[in-house]
Amino acid sequence: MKKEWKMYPGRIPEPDMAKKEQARQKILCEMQQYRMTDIQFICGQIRFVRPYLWVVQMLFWLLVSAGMYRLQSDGMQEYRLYSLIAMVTPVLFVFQIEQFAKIYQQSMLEIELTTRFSLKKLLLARLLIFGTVDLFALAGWIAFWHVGTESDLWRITLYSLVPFNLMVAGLFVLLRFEYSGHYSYIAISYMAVLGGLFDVLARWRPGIYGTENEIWWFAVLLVTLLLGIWSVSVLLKCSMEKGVQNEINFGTNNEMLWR
Amino acid sequence: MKLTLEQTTKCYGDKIAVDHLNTTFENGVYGLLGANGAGKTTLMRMICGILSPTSGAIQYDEQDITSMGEEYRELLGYLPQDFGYYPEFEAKEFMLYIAALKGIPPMMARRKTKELLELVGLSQVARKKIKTFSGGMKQRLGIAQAMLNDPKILVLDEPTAGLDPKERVRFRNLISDVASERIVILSTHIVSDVEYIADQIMLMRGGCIVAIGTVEELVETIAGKVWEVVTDRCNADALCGKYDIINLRHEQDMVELRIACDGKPDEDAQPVTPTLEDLYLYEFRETTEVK
Repeated sequence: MKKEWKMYPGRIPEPDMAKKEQARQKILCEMQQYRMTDIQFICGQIRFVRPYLWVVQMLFWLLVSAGMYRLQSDGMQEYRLYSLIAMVTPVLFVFQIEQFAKIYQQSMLEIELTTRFSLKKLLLARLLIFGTVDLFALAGWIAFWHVGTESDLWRITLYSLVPFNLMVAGLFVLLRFEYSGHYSYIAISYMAVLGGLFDVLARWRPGIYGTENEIWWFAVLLVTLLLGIWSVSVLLKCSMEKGVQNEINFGTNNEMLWR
Repeated sequence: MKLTLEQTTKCYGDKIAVDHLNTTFENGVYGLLGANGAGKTTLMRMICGILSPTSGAIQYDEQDITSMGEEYRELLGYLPQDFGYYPEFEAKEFMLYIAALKGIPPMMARRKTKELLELVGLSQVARKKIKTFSGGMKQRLGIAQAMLNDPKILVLDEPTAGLDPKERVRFRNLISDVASERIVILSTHIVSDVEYIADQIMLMRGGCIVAIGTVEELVETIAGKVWEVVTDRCNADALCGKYDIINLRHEQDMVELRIACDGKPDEDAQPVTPTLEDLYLYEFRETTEVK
């Protein structure tokens, strides 16, 4: 057996290097085929959004709608209904911002900056996912009040979109200056201030929700739309590798990495 | 496969963190040794493209890493010094998340996650939330995530922090196993972590590489400069005030001192074979004194 064993090295042919290289190229080629595309990446990100988020949002949506519908049925004044819509709309969408802000979790950022899909792409993916959900939710919300109360569709759209845009723009701006790691509290505080503002507006000048002021609301809507677009573009611009690279603080991990 | 640093400098205002560094990394394990603030983390962040050099360049196979972008990041595996995680994520979920960011298709990601969690001994807790993990477990998870994309350049910043001795040995074996055909750069200030596995040791101080070579080559530089002396407490106090003491051990009424100095420190002093730890303490004696 020992003799036979000694004979083996002589019998085994030398590996064909050309074929070895050919096999390597084939594997590389096949691997390229399985490379994740940008679309696959965006779709893949849905898996990492906490499922409870959608459930809580839906429950809240139903609860608020039922409550407001009841109040409206009890003979609530029209301006009050509109002010309530303006107050409540941002709350419906604030749940998602915490999931969005998580990308900027201080200690995760360093890893996210070194992966194939850049931070900008990650942001874009999350924006697309949450944006799409928000779009449907907002459409449902507006349709619900239009059908349920036979109110003017245009006015409901105005009173929903203006606070929504203000919320989006404000939260994205705040996200850029958030260093504490308590973004959820900041977002909730901002939302409360925003809601309070619309309530104060309704109590101070009930006529502001009147048909005669529609044009002003439309003007504000355009401004807030621009604000929203600006805040998103700034957020994306800042997330680009070049913009982020030199913003990492030196030495300590107690400071926010990204600004 | 070659990673080249050419006159790489990084300044933070007036402070120079990395000072005109010139070096080339090829396949193998490189151990960066240095005290806190030596510039190890800054250097690693620059290699990973998180920080851009103030001046100079970093090239991978003669291509600037900044211009390579996604193509370069695909080759990278990085474990930051302060490894972060999403506390409410399970270990497996976290790995899949990082795999998605690294662009690994889901099927391959699941297979690789399973393999790596087994490799780092976390397969039993794959479904447990990370917030319930001990420091060592989190660190092992960090090592696993860095290796998800089978990186050609593996950068590990203080990978053994928080690991117990058994885990350290396991880590060393793991790195030795994966080190072939890739560049592994690991920083630490624990000498034993790199002593056994690093092909090249780089000693960093004040943003510069003060010494580079194999363990044997580096240790050779302080041959004849390390002494051991057993003496009484009174003389020991005098020697402590005069020389850099590498180690001090009390034995009943006597004190055994290990001293690093150019000449014979005491009549009874005996020269001993230096170790990497001796070299480290010799090179960083000023730093440690300040500390």
